[in-house]
Amino acid sequence: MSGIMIQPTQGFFKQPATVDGGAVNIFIPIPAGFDSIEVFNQTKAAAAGGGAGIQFFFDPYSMTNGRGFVAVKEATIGATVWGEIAAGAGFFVTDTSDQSTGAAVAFTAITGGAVPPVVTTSSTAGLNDGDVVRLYNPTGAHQLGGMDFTVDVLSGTTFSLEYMSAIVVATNGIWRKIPNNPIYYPRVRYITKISKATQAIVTLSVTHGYHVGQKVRFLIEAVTATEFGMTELNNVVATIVAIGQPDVDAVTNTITIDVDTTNFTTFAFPLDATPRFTPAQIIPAGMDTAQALLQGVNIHSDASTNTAQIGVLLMAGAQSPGGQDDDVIEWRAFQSFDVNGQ
Amino acid sequence: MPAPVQEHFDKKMLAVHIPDLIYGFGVMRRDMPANAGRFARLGRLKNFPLAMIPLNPNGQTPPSVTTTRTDIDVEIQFFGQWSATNEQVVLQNQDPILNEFSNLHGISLRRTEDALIRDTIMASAGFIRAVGGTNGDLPTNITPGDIDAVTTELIGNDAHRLFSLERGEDRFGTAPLSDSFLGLCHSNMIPSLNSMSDFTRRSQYPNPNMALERSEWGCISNLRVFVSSQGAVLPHASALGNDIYPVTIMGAQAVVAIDQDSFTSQFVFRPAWVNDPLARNSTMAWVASFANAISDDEWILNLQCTL
Repeated sequence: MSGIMIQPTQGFFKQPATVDGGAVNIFIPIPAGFDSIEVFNQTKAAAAGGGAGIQFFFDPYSMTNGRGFVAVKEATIGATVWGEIAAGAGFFVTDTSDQSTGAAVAFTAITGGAVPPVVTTSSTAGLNDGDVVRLYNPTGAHQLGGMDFTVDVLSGTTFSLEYMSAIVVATNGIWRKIPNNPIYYPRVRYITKISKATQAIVTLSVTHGYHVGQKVRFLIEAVTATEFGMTELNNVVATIVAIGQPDVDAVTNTITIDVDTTNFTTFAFPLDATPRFTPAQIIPAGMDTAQALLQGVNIHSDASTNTAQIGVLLMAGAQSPGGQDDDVIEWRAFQSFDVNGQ
Repeated sequence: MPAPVQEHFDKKMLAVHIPDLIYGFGVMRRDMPANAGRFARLGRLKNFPLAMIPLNPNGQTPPSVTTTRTDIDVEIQFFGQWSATNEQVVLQNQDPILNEFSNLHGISLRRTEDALIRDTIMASAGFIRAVGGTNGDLPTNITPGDIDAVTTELIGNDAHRLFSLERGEDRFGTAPLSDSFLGLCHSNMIPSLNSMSDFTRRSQYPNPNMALERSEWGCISNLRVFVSSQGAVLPHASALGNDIYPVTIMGAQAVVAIDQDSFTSQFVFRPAWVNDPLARNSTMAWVASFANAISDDEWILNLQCTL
């Protein structure tokens, strides 16, 4: 496109030093959008040696999403050589209001009898720890069909359903990546486990985002005589009194509620042969301000908020714009305005 | 001979496609004054308990009762977009471009507002899967039994119906309307709605003028259904990977939209002589604050359906 006015946006970030040594992809919100972006890796530019990318450029109109250009530092002569970034290792224009799903990928097995269940698939390319996937028509575990799960990528062909309880076993089916959350917070989430305790611990299938003091309501239908069980909680409004307490499987994507479930029926996730049912779910129900004040937390953490953002995702790597652990990286995005009016 | 005229451009522009806006229809509107911060808070008290025990005849006073309050918080956020128009367009184009642009901005404003309310409901309201249909998926296609399951749940939670009963009239092929909840869905649901034997189309209302909007498609049981091409679709969300078409079923006061100091719609036109040193480029914009929330989660449910 052509334009006559240009507006820059700029900033910098430092790659966090992660426990496992792997750098993370960096999302930069640019609410006004951008027509081109430049990235400069200060750490790599100052360091001795070669092989690392120090300067990057991307134009979303003329370049393929996920690519861009990189200037790689030469070790011997101290110069740089420009080249194209490898597919999927560069810049991704990202609009988190986009609710479309990723491509369908087949899987061949989900392990049974173990926590967390592990999915074996043809490839985990494009999946990262913490991403959300949706399963379809899993033979042997149809109860999981249409449900979302946060995953941990274990290898190039396996990922785990990180917060799910044990299943019997499954063979084949389909999964898709769910790139973005629904744009509004707080969100309805699926329940995978509920403990029997004076203050019950509830495990959710996707990273929940809830806060202490929020009120939530349970929707738990009686699917069979034993599933979901714990229908005593159906339609009960509870206050969250703690976040992240480990459940029976040491999973910490949990909320702890002010309801004594000790004498309730045991929660039982449905099985493959279960009739058609509505998943057990947590529904946001407002704020218990007294509880929030008691615990000294934000009394507005329940606020209905549009979380959608437009920006660019910088992939991590030695020759990628996101850089590596501890790299200090500067970026400048530019926007030009078309005043042709048509 | 002079060159032949190549074309005649009709002086009236064709109609812009405008979807029916249905999600703001049953929303509770609330005002928030200026200089009151960026969060609006609504509160609801829990009922006092029943007093089922006779008072002591010797005059002893029972303990005082108390209640608890649930707060619903909403963050005020701003949305908007603008367009720039060069003087050449205004000067040389045959069409009244600025008029057309102002119309497009107005449509964008209201479509955005409606879509944001829709997305609030999709994210934060609970759901029930349709299970009574025969298409083999989960959720299934919609059936009257699935609608009854939702309305039973809402009435069990004391939800207020939005529409009162409409008496029958002495006209062939018509039927009275029950007091009803509001149903909102995508227009792709029309064949599924029509195929339910108990579904009453708007033309069969006691008086067709009872239909409140162009988007009202008909009613069934205790539900009056409105459809729109901008209705909700959850892509690849069913157990078999098909799209889900949620039917939002809600009572009164289930969803709130907050207006801070009448800032729900601002139209901003900056003529070229204000906007530009050379008076060449004018700009036009809408900017607004939109803030929506589920104000009573027990009075709204999404009935998830496939086709």
